[in-house]
Amino acid sequence: MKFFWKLYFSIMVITMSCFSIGSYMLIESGFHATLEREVENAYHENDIISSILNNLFFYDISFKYIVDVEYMINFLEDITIQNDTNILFCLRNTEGKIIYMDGSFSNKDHFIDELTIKKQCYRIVKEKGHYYIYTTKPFSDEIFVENKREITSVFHNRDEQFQILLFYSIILLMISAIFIYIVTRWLVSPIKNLSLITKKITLDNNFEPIQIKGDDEIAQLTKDFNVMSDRLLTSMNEIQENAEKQSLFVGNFAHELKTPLTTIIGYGDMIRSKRLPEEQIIHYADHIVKEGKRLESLSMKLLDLIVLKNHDFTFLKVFMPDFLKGIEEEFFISKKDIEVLIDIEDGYVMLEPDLMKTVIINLLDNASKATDYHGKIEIMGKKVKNGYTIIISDNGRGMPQEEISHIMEAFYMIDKSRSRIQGGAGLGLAIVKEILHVHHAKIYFESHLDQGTRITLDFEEEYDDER
Amino acid sequence: MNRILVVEDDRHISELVKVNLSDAGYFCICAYDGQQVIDLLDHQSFDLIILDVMLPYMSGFDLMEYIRPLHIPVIFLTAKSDVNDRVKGLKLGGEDYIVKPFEIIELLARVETVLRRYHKLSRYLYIDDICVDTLSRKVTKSGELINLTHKEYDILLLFLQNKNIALFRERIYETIWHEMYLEDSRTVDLHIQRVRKKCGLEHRIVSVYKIGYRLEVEE
Repeated sequence: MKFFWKLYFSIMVITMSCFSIGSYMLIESGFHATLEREVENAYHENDIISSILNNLFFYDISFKYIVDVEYMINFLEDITIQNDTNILFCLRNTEGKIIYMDGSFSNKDHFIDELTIKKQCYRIVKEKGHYYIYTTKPFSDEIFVENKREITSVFHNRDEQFQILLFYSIILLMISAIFIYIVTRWLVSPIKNLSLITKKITLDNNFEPIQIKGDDEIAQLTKDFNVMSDRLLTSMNEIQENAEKQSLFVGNFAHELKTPLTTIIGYGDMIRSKRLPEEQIIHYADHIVKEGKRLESLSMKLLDLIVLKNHDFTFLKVFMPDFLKGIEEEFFISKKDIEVLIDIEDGYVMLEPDLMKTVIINLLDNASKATDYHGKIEIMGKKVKNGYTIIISDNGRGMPQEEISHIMEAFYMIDKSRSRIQGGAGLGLAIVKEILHVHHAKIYFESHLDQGTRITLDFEEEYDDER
Repeated sequence: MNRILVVEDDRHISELVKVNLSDAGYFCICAYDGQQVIDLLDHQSFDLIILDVMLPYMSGFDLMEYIRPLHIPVIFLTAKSDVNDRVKGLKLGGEDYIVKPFEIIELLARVETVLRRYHKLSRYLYIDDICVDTLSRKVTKSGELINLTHKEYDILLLFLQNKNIALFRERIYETIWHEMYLEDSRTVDLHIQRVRKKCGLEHRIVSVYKIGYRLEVEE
């Protein structure tokens, strides 16, 4: 059963049973009050009869044992007690036998025995569809007065009230059915909404936060749900992105591996199966050697990447001016056509010298490849408040803004054919990224087409304080 | 002469394909990126395109949109060996799909198959005074019919399609018999002896030491 119907029927059942039980109790208590009053009235009538009899036989009764019952009966039969109300009564002796009656009484139905405990008692009897109340009180030691009063209307009233109750209950049931339906719908609608949106998320992975109204438990749940789905979708996207990156990496890797292999196998196949002039053999063998070297550098770089991810390194406190100048001299010794500006402030950085040398050489290599002629490369070292910053800038080709976010990805090359001619495998910056990650350093790129590129490396001081 | 457009951004591979297809008697033009392909297709007609998938600016798959209306058969030549990529290539209208790295005789065989499918190959192959009718599978020498068995005919055809290329014993065996080659099998040598004798090609089909045989023709 749906939650809606559960809620609906529960409210219906509770409402209806409260109403019925309440009304029933109300009717019952009214009935009992009336009945009690009737009993009082009956006792009262009994008292009236007793006092009339008392008046009639005052003297005789004062001498109780002298009173002759026979005489009294005879006397009573002769006269009729005058009373305003039509009171029916009888007199019984100690065995319950009727010695006089006005109205219809029967010998059998007496309850004089009960009087031994109480001074007066009553009984309600149903006779031929009518209800009567009988009361008994002792008049003297031998005589008891019993009277009778009709109370059918009391019972009749109660039955009538039950009828009315039933009628109104049915009407109320119908009205409340409609109202409770509306109220339940209103209560359940946010839950329904929530479930609908959940379904939507499952179907098309698209999430729009649900509008929150009020601040009840459901609003709270909706809020939590919003937070949860947001986080879920974010992590799902992350996982997907990672998987895509992974498959892209594998695809690129296969491509980078197969291209040199194709050349090597193809030219090898040609040399072994064709009769070729010597200069062609040399030409083809040259291709094979070049591609073999490319494959070698690719595999070494890949090895570097793997090693970087799985190793601990020992860091040394390095004096930056010596370190950077050393690399600069080594790097530019064979590149006379590039103008190098160098300006390095004193400062120490904790680093693994060999790895950091790889980073700097990679960046300088990229810079020198980006500048065709009249190249100018600037290396700057700055002591800053929270660490040390290295800036390498060139006046080369630069790169489009949209490429910057991709350049750290393995095998990503902006200009594939040019990179290949220059011997690149697209792994340089991926390695740089890993090394900087090991050093907890940050790298920023700033580039404009045909104006040049500026790379900033930030080393944090807290790292330098550690050891 | 069949004209083939080789689209490949790696110069070494491009040269490799071009040299081998030229040796096999095709006329080759090389293109290195998508734009060049479009320019070339606007002005020239080709019988076949050999297309790399990972190209700068525009992938080979994207180029198919442009090539398909021209009804030129395409063979993909790519490093992408994934089944999904193969299926995609073939569904986009590629006639065949060669995964790098490849062997030259595989490339030649596939090029030939596709060209034959498009009826762009000449029916007759010639060497000296021998004429091979590839449709009726008849071989005549100076107008006289030579009786060749199935296998012998296939071997002769294989040599004619791979002129000046040394064919390895195992490659010949696997191509003709479609079975794994066993190290010391003399079957190939015996069949080749017979073909040589029947066709009088003793001086043309020369044995290559330790490798196999080569049909030598002056270029």
